[in-house]
Amino acid sequence: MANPEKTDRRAASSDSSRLSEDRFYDALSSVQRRRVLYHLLEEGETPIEELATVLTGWVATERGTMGTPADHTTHHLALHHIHLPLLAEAGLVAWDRESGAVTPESLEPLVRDIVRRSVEASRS
Amino acid sequence: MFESYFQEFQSTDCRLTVYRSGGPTDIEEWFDAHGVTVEHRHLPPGGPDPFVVLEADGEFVGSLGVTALEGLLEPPLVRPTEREEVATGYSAMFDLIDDTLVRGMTRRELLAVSREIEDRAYRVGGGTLRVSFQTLSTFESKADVYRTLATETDLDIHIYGVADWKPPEIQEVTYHGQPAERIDRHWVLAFDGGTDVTQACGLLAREQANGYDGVWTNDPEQVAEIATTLAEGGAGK
Repeated sequence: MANPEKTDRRAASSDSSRLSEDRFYDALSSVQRRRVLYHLLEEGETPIEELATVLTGWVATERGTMGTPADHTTHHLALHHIHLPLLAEAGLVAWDRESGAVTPESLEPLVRDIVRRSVEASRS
Repeated sequence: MFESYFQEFQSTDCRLTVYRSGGPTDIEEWFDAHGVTVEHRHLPPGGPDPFVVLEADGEFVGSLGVTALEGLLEPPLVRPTEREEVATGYSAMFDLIDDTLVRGMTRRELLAVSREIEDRAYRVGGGTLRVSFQTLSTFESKADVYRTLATETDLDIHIYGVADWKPPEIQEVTYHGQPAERIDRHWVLAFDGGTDVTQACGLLAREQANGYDGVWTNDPEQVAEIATTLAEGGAGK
């Protein structure tokens, strides 16, 4: 899944300094973004449309309520304008704005593990 | 009568998808048994609990957890104190599979949907509620419910059915005895929503050899058509 064109910046820094980057923490500071990244790491490439559906369904199951078209639109907009830009900026995902395809970057096992555990731990 | 409605509802282009990490859920078997096609997508094991997504003509319509949806299909007996909670759930159910023809519905499922409509009419408290029991004698077990509906609200209630029993007189309830061939296969409710058409809802079901084919709708125009057809005793067959 590595995308050579996107790895030059990171190649210059060591793993530990990458972990300390503010961008990385910003990217993972939201539960929605951790869910997106977790889904991508487990399922591979996913269209933005389906990521919005997964986030909407996730909230619906937690609340036991109906996820509405308005909820779906809200998640889609947040993905487009906030979550995916931040995740891409931090080098965690590649996002093709033309096709809508979102792909996880090749991540260190430690990072994958942090993401997985943080998402699984929040399950009630 | 009502034949054209059934044809119309069958052509609705809906897509149901279950998102889940494990094996097939009971809800998929339920839909399968009722002639509704369900697709499924894979979720990672640490992801959300299974949920159902409904799309119509490619547009997202709604999503609901499988547990919540299954709860709606196994309705508890409704007591007056549970009205609000139960009604909210069934409204979600309505939104999810609105306008979808469901095959092989049981009497119990039809009763649950009927209760939602009666409940909504009760909460709105005004307007016209038309109900077809297959036979008027079927109304006997519901007479108390309708007495409450009639006395505690301003609803105008019309009851249709094959005239095989003499129902009790209740103010604001009008009976329309029908000849047997007209409606004895149909189970129909239509509530116009009173002054608020967004509260309109209707159920139309037809008895078949293996249960009922049913459709329920929140579309005020469709509800009005169903009500008119019922009131006029049916145009054509």
